[in-house]
Amino acid sequence: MISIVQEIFRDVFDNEELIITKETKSAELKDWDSVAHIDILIALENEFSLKFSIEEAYNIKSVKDILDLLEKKKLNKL
Amino acid sequence: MLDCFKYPFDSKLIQRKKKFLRKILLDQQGLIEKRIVVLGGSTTAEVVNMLELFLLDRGVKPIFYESEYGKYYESVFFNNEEIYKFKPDIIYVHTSNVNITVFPKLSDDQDQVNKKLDDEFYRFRSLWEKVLVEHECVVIQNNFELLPYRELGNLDSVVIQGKNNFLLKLNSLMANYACSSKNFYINDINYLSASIGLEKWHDRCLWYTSKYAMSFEAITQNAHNLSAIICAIWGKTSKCLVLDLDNTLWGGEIGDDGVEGILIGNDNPQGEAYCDFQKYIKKLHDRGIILSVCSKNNFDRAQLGFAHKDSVLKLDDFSSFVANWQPKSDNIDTITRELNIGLDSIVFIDDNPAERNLVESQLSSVRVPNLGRSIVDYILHIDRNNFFEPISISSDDLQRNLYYKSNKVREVEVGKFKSFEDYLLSLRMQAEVSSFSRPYLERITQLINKTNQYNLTTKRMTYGEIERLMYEKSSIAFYGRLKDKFGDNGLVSAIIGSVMEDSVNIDLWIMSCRVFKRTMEYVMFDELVRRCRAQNIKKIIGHYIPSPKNNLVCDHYHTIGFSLIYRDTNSVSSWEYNIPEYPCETNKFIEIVRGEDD
Repeated sequence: MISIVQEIFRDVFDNEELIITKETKSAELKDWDSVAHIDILIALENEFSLKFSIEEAYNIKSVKDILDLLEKKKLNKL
Repeated sequence: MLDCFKYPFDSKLIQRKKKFLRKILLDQQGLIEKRIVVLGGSTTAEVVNMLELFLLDRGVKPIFYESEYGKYYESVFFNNEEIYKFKPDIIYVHTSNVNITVFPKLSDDQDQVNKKLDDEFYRFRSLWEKVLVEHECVVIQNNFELLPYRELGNLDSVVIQGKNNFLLKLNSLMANYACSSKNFYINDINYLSASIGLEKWHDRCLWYTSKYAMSFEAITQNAHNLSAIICAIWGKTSKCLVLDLDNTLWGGEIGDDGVEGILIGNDNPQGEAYCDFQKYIKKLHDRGIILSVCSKNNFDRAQLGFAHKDSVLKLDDFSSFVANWQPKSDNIDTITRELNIGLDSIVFIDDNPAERNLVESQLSSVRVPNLGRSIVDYILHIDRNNFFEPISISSDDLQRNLYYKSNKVREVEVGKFKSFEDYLLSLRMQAEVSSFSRPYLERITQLINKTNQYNLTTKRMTYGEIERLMYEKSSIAFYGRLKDKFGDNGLVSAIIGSVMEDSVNIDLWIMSCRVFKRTMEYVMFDELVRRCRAQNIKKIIGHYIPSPKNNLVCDHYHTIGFSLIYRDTNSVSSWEYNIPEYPCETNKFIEIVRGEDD
């Protein structure tokens, strides 16, 4: 899962060498501003064919938050 | 043209890879800069990002000035200085139904609703008029998309108190205004939202979190639509549709199936679809789009298809017809030479992906849409790519195909004469030369912005700039029309010069490719000299600025009798002509008719 998310981050930031880990936080990644935040969320929504609620979108602050949320939404779908 | 920018636009890919796409698109050569003010009624960041990509894909490099969030009205009325300094070519008003200040109330009577309608419309109209008066630019205004919900159910678009009804009335007011004004264009988001569906158009989450009035998918659609309008304003639209035959204009193969075997006509579902496709193309032809055939076939057999009783298109509709076994890329090259138009004016339609691929890879400036899975998709792939976006319908567009047809007759004719001079005389040409006047301004604008080959300086101008020339004492500006025994070619040439003391500088000299080699340039030159003489001007200065397309006229001033003053390392050259004491006319073949005031 994290490798797909990493691909999205690389595309959004146009940086082929970017490595993300579970611990990567938006406050620490320089380019992860509010504009990039929307780009990431929309790319995730498109990639996994799902929609985030306002609360979910608002509460994502790290890669871990993204992975947890994807896991949860995948379970809900089953 | 990158695949993701073709219909159906790959919004997801463009969105995700926008930084990368921007980088490679900015790397292109020969981009034209346009300065665009975006007045936003909602967040515009992504609107601007996407518009930039779609414009770059069309060879236009936009430079943006964005109003503060939601300040579309205030920035014009209270912050005008900054916009003035920015010198915009375009002002784009990106508003939507979230910007309606007052909707009708249930208790409103007709008068109260009308008052609200007037107030709402006036607020926009005052903004456009202020902008159009103060800046030399065009205005593009979004109309309104419908609301995602209907408070009054089906009555919402029926009764005067309905909000959707109110929006539709405003759209109609805006459309009327656009029909009667110059330099003002509507970006029809009402149509765009209907075509992708209101549920996809609105993204409420994006609205509440970031104040975007439309979804990212909608923003992509909007960017494409806007780029089409902008390119059309500066003449970057296609002129000619080059069509394959078998399984493109009819079902089946004319070579194997014969006239009776091909699918066209209302006897079966496929034949009906091909018929509708031909009808759509016929409509394009009616508004001036040139048609041409490019088919791998035996020439005589290929023509048979149009003899089918249900064929909507007839042989006569095609200005050029190529059917042989040569590669299509070579044939398209031949067609452009025959019609005297550029490769970038061509849209190539072929059901065979291999042929499309060949043409696209060999001739990168030809536009090649995908066609979808079957005949039922063809129209959409031409229509939604907006290749032939018109900004207005001029009477010249309706005439255009006649010129190309009579040119064909002229070509046959030329073979019958001993010398080219005899041929020219036999045409019995008549030219009218006159100062710019209002009825012709639209055509002059079109000519100035679309002429590439016979264009000495490739200076482009808006309607407003050209209109102003009519009143400027220090300008010489006149046009030429040409007709002959085969027909009227319409307005085909123009010269604009600025007078400085006893000399005149030619800022612009253009002629339509329709009348190449007809000696019309001498008529224009004689007229220029005549006007100079009347104003006691002693010297004419001309310039040649090379562009990728105007090599045809690199020697123009030399041919006419100017002497070279200077040529720089980029081959930009300046020329002078001293007006002789006694009149000597250079035109030998064309009879002159002059306008009343001239």
